[in-house]
Amino acid sequence: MTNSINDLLARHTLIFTIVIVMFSLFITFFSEPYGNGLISTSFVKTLGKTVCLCIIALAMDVVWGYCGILSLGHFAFFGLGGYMIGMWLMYERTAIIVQEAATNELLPLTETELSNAIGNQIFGVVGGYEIPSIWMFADSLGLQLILVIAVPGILAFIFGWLAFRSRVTGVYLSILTQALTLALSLYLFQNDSGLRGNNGLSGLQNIPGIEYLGQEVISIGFFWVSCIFLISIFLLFHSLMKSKFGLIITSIRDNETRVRFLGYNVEIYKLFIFVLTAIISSIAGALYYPQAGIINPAELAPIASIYLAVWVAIGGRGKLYGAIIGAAFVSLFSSWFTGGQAPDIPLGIFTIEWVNWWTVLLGFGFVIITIFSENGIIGFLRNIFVKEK
Amino acid sequence: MNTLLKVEKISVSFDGFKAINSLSYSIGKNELKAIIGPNGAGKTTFMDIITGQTKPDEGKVLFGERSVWLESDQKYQVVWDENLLMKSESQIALLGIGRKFQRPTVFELKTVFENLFISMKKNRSPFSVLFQKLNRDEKNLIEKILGEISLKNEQDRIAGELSHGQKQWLEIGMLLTQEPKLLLIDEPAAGMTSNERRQTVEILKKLSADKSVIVVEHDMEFVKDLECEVTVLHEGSILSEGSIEHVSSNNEVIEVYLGR
Amino acid sequence: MKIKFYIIFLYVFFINLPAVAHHDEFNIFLIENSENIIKSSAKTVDSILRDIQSFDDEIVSRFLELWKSKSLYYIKDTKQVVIVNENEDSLDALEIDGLTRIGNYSKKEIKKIKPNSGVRAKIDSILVKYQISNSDINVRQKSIESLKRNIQPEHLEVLQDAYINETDTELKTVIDRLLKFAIVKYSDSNDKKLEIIESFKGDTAIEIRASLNQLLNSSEVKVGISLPNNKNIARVIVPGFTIKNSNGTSGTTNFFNEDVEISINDAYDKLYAENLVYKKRITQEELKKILEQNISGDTIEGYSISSLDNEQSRIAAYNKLVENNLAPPFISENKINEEVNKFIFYSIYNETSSEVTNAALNTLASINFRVQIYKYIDLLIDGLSLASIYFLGAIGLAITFGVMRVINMAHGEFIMMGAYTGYVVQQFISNHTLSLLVALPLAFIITFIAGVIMERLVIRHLYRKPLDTLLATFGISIALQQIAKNIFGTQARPLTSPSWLDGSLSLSDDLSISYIRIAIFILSLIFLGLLLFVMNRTRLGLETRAVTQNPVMASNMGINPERINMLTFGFGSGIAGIAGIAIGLFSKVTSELGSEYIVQSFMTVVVGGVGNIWGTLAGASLIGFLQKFIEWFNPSNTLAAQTYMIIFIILFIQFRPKGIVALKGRAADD
Repeated sequence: MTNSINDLLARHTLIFTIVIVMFSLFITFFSEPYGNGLISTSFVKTLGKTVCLCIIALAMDVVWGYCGILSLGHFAFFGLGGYMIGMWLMYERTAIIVQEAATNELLPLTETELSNAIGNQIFGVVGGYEIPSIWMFADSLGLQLILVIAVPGILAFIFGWLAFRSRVTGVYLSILTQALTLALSLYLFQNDSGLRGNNGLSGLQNIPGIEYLGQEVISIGFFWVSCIFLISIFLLFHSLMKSKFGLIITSIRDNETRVRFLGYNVEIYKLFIFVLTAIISSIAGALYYPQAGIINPAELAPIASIYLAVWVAIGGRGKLYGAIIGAAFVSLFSSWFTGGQAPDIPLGIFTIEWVNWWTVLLGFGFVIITIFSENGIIGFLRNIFVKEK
Repeated sequence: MNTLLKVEKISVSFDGFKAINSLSYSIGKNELKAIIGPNGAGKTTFMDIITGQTKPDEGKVLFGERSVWLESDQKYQVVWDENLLMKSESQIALLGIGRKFQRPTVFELKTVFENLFISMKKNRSPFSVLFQKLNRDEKNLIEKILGEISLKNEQDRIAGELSHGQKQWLEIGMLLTQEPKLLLIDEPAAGMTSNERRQTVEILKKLSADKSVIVVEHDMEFVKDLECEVTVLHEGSILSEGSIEHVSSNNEVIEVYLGR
Repeated sequence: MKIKFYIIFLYVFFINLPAVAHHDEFNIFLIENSENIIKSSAKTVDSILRDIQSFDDEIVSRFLELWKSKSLYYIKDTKQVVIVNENEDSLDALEIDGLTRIGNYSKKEIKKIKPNSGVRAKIDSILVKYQISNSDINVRQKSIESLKRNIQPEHLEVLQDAYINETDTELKTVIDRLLKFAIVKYSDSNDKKLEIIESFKGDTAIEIRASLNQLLNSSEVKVGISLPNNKNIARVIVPGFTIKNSNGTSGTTNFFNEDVEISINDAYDKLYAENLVYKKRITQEELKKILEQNISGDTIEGYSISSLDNEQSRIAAYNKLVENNLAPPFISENKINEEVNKFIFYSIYNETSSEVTNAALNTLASINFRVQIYKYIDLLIDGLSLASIYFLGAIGLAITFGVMRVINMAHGEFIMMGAYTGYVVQQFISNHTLSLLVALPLAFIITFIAGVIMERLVIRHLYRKPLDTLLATFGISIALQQIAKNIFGTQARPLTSPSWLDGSLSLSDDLSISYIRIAIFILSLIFLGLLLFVMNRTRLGLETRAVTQNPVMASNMGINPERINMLTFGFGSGIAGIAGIAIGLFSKVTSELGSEYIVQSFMTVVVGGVGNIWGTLAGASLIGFLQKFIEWFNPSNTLAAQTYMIIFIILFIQFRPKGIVALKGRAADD
């Protein structure tokens, strides 16, 4: 019996890996730098970003679909990851620009002058030139990458430990995570948050040190890194959920009390999942924002995290590929509709302009899916498939 | 005989309503005891307190009596291994107290085998669980328990598909794989056919060979078949205690049961 | 020529009448001074104003009044000062008394006299003397008002006389107060000043504080070897350390990091400016500039340029320049500190008597204590009105979430719908009071229907799955928000409150409550009462509670749970609609109005304790007061206050997971 599970596992992940690799190669062969240029750089970026959204959707699926915690805060971790990597990108690039400008000066810059000049470039918009102490590691990619993991990890640990310890569950937990997200975004909106207030961090698409490669090459690079990370996370979650650990996680979702009376420390398990998915969300964010080029506090607003839950629900929760399909489907359609590419529908006196009415369609469509197909698109397709059989 | 669990003068009230009122109770090693009482007598709350789900307003709950030779006083002194009031539900479960709920509570979406696999007595930390696989002995143990609860042929079925009685047994089976010292069993016979009830009585009696078992029931007939000491609870305190014949001849008990 | 003759004629004509005699003298005075009156300046006007006071009071006050109010004209040819009656295309020139007609002139021949503001102020200060003793109380009042704005030393006497002569008690107290200010400001007698300063104790009027603070004006930073003995020292200044308090004393920098009064470098520069030190401080920029001027090839005085990337080596290179007399000496930081420490920096009060300034400080402290208490009260009122707003936002949720346990993320959009209803009604009914009376029930009906529709179509299917309800209603929320955006656009729409809600109830200079806040507070009280009544005293409330506590039992007793759920949900939504109008009155109506309140509203219900209307009240109070309290510590940053408040709530939930008013026991477990 265990053998058959292993077979299935091997096949599932193999198919998935092959599909993603084929897809990446396909995109690469039609891209501007490595192919005939049929696929524009900006579309490669859109795809790369979508892959990152698929990664965070996977994390959301594990924490919600598998463990039953409807977190309305995971997009905040995604944003934090973006901020952490953004700090390095912005600092390092500004430092390079300032140093280049300094070659015209007669004397080399002192450290104070250098830091003031960098500070002035970065924080001039919020009326300051001093570099806040939270930027102290910003000149080191390595340390800042550690922060990508550590900051959301620690935040999720503290929050999760407090919340799970006092047995906050269900919608209460959802509301609490939403509150956390709101607090975080409000904090970042302040000018003296040390992260440029509502201006956010910008120019993140310029990667210091490899700018000479050009955006068309960098975008393919990021696309590949995102795809590889997606595959690894899929494999990680897949094996995790197939192990005894996964069995316990889903048991906690189905009957928390029972698991507790079996002697498992449910809180630790939840905390483990919460922190793990927060960290993965953060890494996904750290991959996303260099492709997006800009991050600001609005990205962390509570509504983004609810949208994340919507993607997973539309795709089909409790199934890893459901989350990926949901995220890819909704985010690509959203950019198609809101980008003005979708044809408007003339209804005589009134024309449905998708730029304005897409959100309405999404909202009501989502309501219908929630009511009629608990398992989203995946569940819907499976129902049809099973019936035909 | 050593006492395994001792409950001393516990009381708990919810919004002024006294669910348990200065209740004392104890059970020895490998003893089978039954608690009966009408609805609202405080049976479930009593179990909640032992398993740590509810903390009492006052009283003590002690577990694992031992006698220790005191060199200074030249005599034995009774010590208790654990004070249950200081423990969480999972810690109490790990000490060896298993609980079967009134409604059969199994993982409905998992197979019978997986249900037993999860409850297997093993390291329960998340990091160790990540890499846990079954070895031959453990596989044999699950097979043996499957036999005891008559579910050998159902092991790959989804638990949700089982009959009500089978679910009850599966839950008992899950308790057995935990290898507990004390079993708290809430209304095991509810919703069972008479055939299943007979089998359940057999299972419970067999269990008490090497475990302590407390059965909570409100079905007098079932309790009679268990042939054990019976405690009657009413309004959060003990009304009568003794053999089933003794308690069923008690006037107060008759009034409480038949008066309703 | 002709005109002059005319004047002489008039002069002769009136000469026999004594009253008119003054008038004539006055006319002569005008002729003599006409040049200076027409082109008056602050310099020339003084002598005119001095001389004019010898004439008859009535004439002088009339003349000055006309002059000040730019009602005087002059005839261009003769420079005669006149007043005019305007005809259609010409002007009748009259003498100042307004009785004697001089002649008819075209508009080109006559010009207006426009005294500048400096002149007008001077006229005013003389005019006051005449007006303050006027028999007409309105004139007296006016003159007092003008004195308030511009009080001069010479008014001290005027006010004293006026105070004695004034018969109107109300005006007398005003004069009394003005007199006190005048004494504090201009009196020569310290005793008098002290007496009045003492009497100011406990009076929090802003003008009193201003008058005291004026007494405590102090000089700019002064420096010397030691403190002068004969001066009224306001404060000793430690460069780089002390700050200047508003009352002229010095304080230390605190948590909020106020700026120091003078930095050490600035202090040194001041020493240099006053010739107390002889070497000029060289700033880093100057140092850099001088170094740059002395570059020769790749080096400066033997130091390679690439090595000058830190301050130490730059100073070393610079000192080499100094050795070779190529640059003024560099003053090190230590030296600057040393020099600055040799001197004492201080500031003195403009008021010379230390007795007076001490008394002023004393009185100001006692006033500030009282002002502080007012501030606490103001804080309480602020908290109360914020709590009312949160309560209004959350009260509908207290029913749908609190009682029915339905998570309605579209609740905020119901609030928005209510607000837009108010806006649309105002487009049709222009009377704001009437439109409000129409809008309130209409908003209830519309959102009630919306709630019922939503319950029937969506929520009914999801009663057993709270998390799914949350997501489905979120879908509705974003759809409704977008629809509102498509209909009303993204810009804010005004929902104007009736005029009787404008303005505020003023309790003192520091304490006033706007009527709209009071209205919202009262409205939330009404809501609380209404809700308690509906839930506890009506059949709907009873059945609702029955259905939520035990649906099976309730339906066995003949209650139709479907109907009850529908009505309760409609009721909760309807209340959200009314709350929307209230919220719309003080904030702009946008499609995002509701979503701004939704998280706070849920927190209000959770913090208060689910399933209990009193709990919602407690939650709203806690959150409202807490937010104002945190804002009070750092008023400039409301975002931070909200952040900290939410963190507090997250922590609070840890210790009281079931909220302030918690249901205990098994009934509370879902």
